Amino acid sequence: MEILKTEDLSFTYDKSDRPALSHVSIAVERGAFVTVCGPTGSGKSTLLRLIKKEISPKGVTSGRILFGGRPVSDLSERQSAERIGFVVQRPEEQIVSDRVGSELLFGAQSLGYDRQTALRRAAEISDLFGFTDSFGDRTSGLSGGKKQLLTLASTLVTSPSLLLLDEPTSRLDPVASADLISMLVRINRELGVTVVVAEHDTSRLLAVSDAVIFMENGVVTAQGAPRDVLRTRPSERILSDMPAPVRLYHEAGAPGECPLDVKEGRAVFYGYKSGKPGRKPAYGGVALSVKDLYFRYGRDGKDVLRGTGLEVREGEIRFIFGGNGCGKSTLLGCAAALLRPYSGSVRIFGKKPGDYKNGQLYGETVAMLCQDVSGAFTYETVREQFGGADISSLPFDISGLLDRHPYDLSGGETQIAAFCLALLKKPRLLLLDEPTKGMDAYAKRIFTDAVRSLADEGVAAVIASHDTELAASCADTCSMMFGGEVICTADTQEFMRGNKFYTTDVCRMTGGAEI
Amino acid sequence: MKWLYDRNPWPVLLYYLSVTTLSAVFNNPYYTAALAVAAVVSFIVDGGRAKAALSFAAVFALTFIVNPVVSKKGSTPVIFIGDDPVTAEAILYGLNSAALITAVMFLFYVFTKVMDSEKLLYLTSPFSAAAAMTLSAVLRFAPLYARQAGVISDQQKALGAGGDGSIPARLRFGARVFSALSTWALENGITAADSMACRGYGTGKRSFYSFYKFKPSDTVFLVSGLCLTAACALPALFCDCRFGYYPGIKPPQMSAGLMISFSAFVLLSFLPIIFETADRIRWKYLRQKI
Repeated sequence: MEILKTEDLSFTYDKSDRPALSHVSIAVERGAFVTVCGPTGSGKSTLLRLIKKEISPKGVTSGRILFGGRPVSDLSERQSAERIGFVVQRPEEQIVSDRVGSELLFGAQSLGYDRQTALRRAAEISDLFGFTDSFGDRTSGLSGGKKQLLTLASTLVTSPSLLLLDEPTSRLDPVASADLISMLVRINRELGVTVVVAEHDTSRLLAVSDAVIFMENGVVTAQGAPRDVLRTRPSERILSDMPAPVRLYHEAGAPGECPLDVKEGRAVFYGYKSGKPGRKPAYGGVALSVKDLYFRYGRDGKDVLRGTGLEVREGEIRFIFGGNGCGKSTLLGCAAALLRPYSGSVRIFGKKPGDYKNGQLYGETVAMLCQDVSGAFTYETVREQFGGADISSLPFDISGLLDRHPYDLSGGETQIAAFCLALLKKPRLLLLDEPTKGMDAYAKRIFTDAVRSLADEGVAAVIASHDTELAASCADTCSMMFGGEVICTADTQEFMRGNKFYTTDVCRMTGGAEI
Repeated sequence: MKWLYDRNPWPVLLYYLSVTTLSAVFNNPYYTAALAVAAVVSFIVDGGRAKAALSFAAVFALTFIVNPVVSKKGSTPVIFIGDDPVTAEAILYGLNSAALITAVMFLFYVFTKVMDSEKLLYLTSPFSAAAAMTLSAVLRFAPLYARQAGVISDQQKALGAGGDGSIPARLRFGARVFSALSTWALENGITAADSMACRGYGTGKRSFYSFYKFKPSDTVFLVSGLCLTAACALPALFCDCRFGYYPGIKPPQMSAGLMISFSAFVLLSFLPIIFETADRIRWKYLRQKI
């Protein structure tokens, strides 16, 4: 029995002549885990928002959306709020209260639950999500991943039967997104909540999904059980977002069923070699030299950097890996002279940051993208932000983003626009903190090509990331940080082969034959 | 002041209201001295920062000096500044008001730590669940805006938008960061509104509940506080307790009523410290038994 069904659903936004959705007919079984995948702008968000009437976009709709056999337009606001949960991209902005406990109780209080019912539900969810110890804590102190988990938990307190998530992991690092997805799987399996996730990074989602829906340009191109759907090769855009085993399966034309995760992939691809040529980097002089850095936030804090050293040469693309809180972002902040270490030295092209006068340091010498790039935008439109600069020479085609408000961009689009801004003044050293967060595979490929061609011109890049797949195609060398120190540096091939955790799925499947 | 932190917000609020009102009404140097000592002790017990204490001391010095210099009242000149006499009465009055203001600052330092946002919410909630919600949301903004201002300013600098470091460039930069912050705040509001609508905000009457209980020790605190307040205030209705500063210093007539009132006030000032000490001793004793 379907809990959710759309019949011939089409939708056109106000002020737009092209339909965002055309003739979409999907069916979601009660209790199923469904992944909607498709590149940025394929209509995933629009579809999910149309189901949730409180936040439906304005425009012309035709066709029907049925929830439990009834049109969603017939649901009262209360019914819709209680039975359909919705989680959006931005973990930062969707939290309302200043305490974890109040946030958990928000939905229950809005719907006027009595004390006992609300506390009982909140207590269960709090225990399930592990918020019990932080119940009285301030929400502002939580990490991005914890904030997203809190939003999810708060949504579940009213016991919805359908949960919709619009790119919930696009602003999270891979470790936090893995936590979120495993929590979604638990909610689906143990609590029986039907889950529909729209996401372009499907690497962890595909193997746990009962059904997938592929969307491109507002049209559903395929739907069904993942293995059935993936028997035929999907379009290039969709395939590039598929997990490594699926990509390798179609690229290599392997026999048998399509493997969905690393374990299944290992059985098929162990020892497999594609023979793709790698990049031959040519390094110049030292671009960034960091020696013996010690840094802490405030005198009473503990050291975040403990004698960190790093040397990156012109034309080198260096990736830095390490868990959350290992000091990656702090190291980049110190290297960009945004943070001041209390001991140690930073040299940028052989000069102290302080020796660059009259604003010569930032923009033309160094450009940095911080972890949260929302601060890059100070104007009402992307066009004003670029201020008439020549955008034709930029690696990304941002002409479609120009007239939009920077804060309306999706996670991936924000990163793209910010990256382009960083390139405007042609810096010679790029410091990038998680620059591809939320980008789809297509955008990541353009990013990789852009960074590589810059490196060929002698630009040095230091990239803090969790994305090993990206590093495998982009990085010349990789470093690992732990406890505020750089504990190892190696060239990418050797780095990936030597690691078990910070390595690619391809490397895991092929046993190191390919990275 | 663990004991005070654990108390229900209502008796705590009443206690602070009562002790500050009484000291202001009596306006008596003996009362003020008792309150000042109690305030400083509770500040120290609470682990107050030396920096804060120094700034309070500066406020004390400033307010103390201003009155005798400005005030022409009083009949006993002590020294002359130029032709202007500085009177003993004005000095005492200045000392009393400075000590009172400083004592209240020390008290409030502890008070704001004891009364965190969640407790303020609890105090607001009986009047309006919606107001309580709004307060909770507003309390979230301060750290959020501070953080975002840092994010914007760092990112702008790192992209070379900081200019050449000259003063006009810095001013322009500050204005840009501020304008971006306001836009961000509005945009943030839209996402928050969506997220609230998704969770049924505005579909009906909101309920509110909190986790503060009224424990037996809250009753003890409330009742002892009320009794001491009564013992301090009531005698003043029957005997003359006014401390006269001008034209000449005139302390009130010593009487049984005054003695009762003053002792009650001293006890009231030290009440949280007494309970805190008793609590610490009790725990030490409990631990020995374990």
